[in-house]
Amino acid sequence: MNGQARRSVLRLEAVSRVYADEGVPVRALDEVTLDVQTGEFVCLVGPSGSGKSTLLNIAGGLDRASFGRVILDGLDITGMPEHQLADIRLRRIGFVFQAFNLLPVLSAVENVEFMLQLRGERDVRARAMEMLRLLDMSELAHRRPAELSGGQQQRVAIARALVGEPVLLLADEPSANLDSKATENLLALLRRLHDERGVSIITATHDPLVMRHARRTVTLQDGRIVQDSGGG
Amino acid sequence: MPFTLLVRLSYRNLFRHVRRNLILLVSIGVAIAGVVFLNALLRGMQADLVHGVRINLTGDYRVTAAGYAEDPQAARGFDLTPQQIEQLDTKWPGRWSARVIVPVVISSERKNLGVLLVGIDPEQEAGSFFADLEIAGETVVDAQASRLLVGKELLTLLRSRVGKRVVLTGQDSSGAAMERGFTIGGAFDADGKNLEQQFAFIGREAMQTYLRTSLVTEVSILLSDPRHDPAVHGQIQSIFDGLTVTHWRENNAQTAALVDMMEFATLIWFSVVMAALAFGLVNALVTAVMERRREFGIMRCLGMQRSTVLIQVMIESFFIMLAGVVLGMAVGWAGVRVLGGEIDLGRFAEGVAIAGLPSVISLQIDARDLVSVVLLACVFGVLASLIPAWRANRHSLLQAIAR
Repeated sequence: MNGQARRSVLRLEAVSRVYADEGVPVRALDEVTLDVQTGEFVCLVGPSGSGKSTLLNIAGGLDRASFGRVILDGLDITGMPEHQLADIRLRRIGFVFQAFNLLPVLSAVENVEFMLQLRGERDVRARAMEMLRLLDMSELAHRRPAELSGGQQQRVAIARALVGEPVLLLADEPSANLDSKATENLLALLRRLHDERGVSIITATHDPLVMRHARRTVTLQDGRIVQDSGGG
Repeated sequence: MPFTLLVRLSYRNLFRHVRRNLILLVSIGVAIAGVVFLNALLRGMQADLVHGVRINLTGDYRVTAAGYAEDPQAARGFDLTPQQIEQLDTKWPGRWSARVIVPVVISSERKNLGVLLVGIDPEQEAGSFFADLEIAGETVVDAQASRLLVGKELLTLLRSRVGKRVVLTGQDSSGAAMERGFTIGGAFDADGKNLEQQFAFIGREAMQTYLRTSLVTEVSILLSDPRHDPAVHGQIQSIFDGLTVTHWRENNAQTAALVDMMEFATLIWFSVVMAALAFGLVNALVTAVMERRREFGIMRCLGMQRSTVLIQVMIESFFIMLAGVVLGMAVGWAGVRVLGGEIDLGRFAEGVAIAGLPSVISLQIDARDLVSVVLLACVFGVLASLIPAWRANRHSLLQAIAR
């Protein structure tokens, strides 16, 4: 890991998320408090419906907390308007989705460039190629997603998530659509990026392989944190 | 805004559902081709109407004495001075005619009919319909020609023939009633039976002798542009001080109103087609957008603003519309070219003759119409995309990316 000073990248303060399910309130998150420091590799685990994805969604500004505060990289995003949240997602967060979610009409390198172009940056092709090279994907850079395997698509998705050098990478079940070999490769890659670039990573998973690679494991059950190996 | 990115996404999305977009493109193309072709037809009819009025002795501007329009008699003539002739020849050489036109009753042995007797100098009639007449028998060869040239239809109605004598009854320049016999020298065949019934020609000087006057009743000036030009109007008025100068739109208010109505009809037709197209476009785009709800959600998750998603959908619509417009204009233009710029109604010759229409309707593509088609189509296309663009944005992020 690089030698940056540790500071809080994400802090959830007594965050609750209440949904109305056919008029009945359901607490998907129940007063969750969590602090993630720079350079941490956190694994959220727990059974289905325990609140892992909800936590990731709130941390990434895709969903809003019903109660409590969310502070991302020093910014209170709890009540931020949508256009500002979009900018936060663009500039500070990298997302890796379970279904890869690459844009099908763009090639691999264009998918990576997408983030930089949205940010209005220049020399996007060189930076996107560099990121693909880092992920051993440069030879497939001009293929469309449909021409890539699941593992290759996930690499492109990671390249897209990291090319903008976010402070936090959020990955929701990143290995769900990968076989064990591809999962091993993905985890090695995440580990390398984490160690070399100091990226803070929070991943939700059911996969024991992924859990083994995490330095900190947070276990959720019924919307509450029941165990935190990092002691948070 | 990452405009090049949006253009790239929009362009590539067009090729994503090739069959659907092709159908949409063809629909737009056919509609636009129809608009271009019908516009060409209406423009051609307008131009034919205006041309017909202008060459039917009216010209673009007509100079008459006060009161002549209400009571066209020889007494309401005016003297055409050498200075005026010189100024006319200087400014509009070969484009003006001096005439004597009065209403008379023409009588054969069997029938009396009202007709406008037109005294002309054939050398000055190169721009009027007189120059294109098909004539059986003798034409009006010069200003002194004293034999009548009448329309074939008039001859039929009079139940007379070339070489027979008829009697003209009218008023001379002093207002006194007078009668005189004339020989029918020839019969003309014009484009439309109305003209053949309406006019009889004779040499201008012969007519002045008949009316016992040296005056003319009108000077008609035929220019290259039928639109009213106040500057030209002023120039003519300065030559003919004290006389009345009128534009063809004033002299033929009915035709002018018809031309304006056709202009309005063109606009209505175009709006109806565009509205229908917009509905089709909305329908197709809503389907396309709903299919890509998740994709738009992902883009917003990654940080794309709602407004940028909206613009992207609008650019896609704009591309489809623009491509359809270009295709449609090309097809419409080609259609006009294939027809040689006119539609021959010869098969319905009798019907169009009764209706007073020319047997050949010209097709004219007006550059202003094409520009309007492009601009309005693109505006309609962008407006039509607002609904699907709004639908692309209305879901929350979690709804949008849910499987």
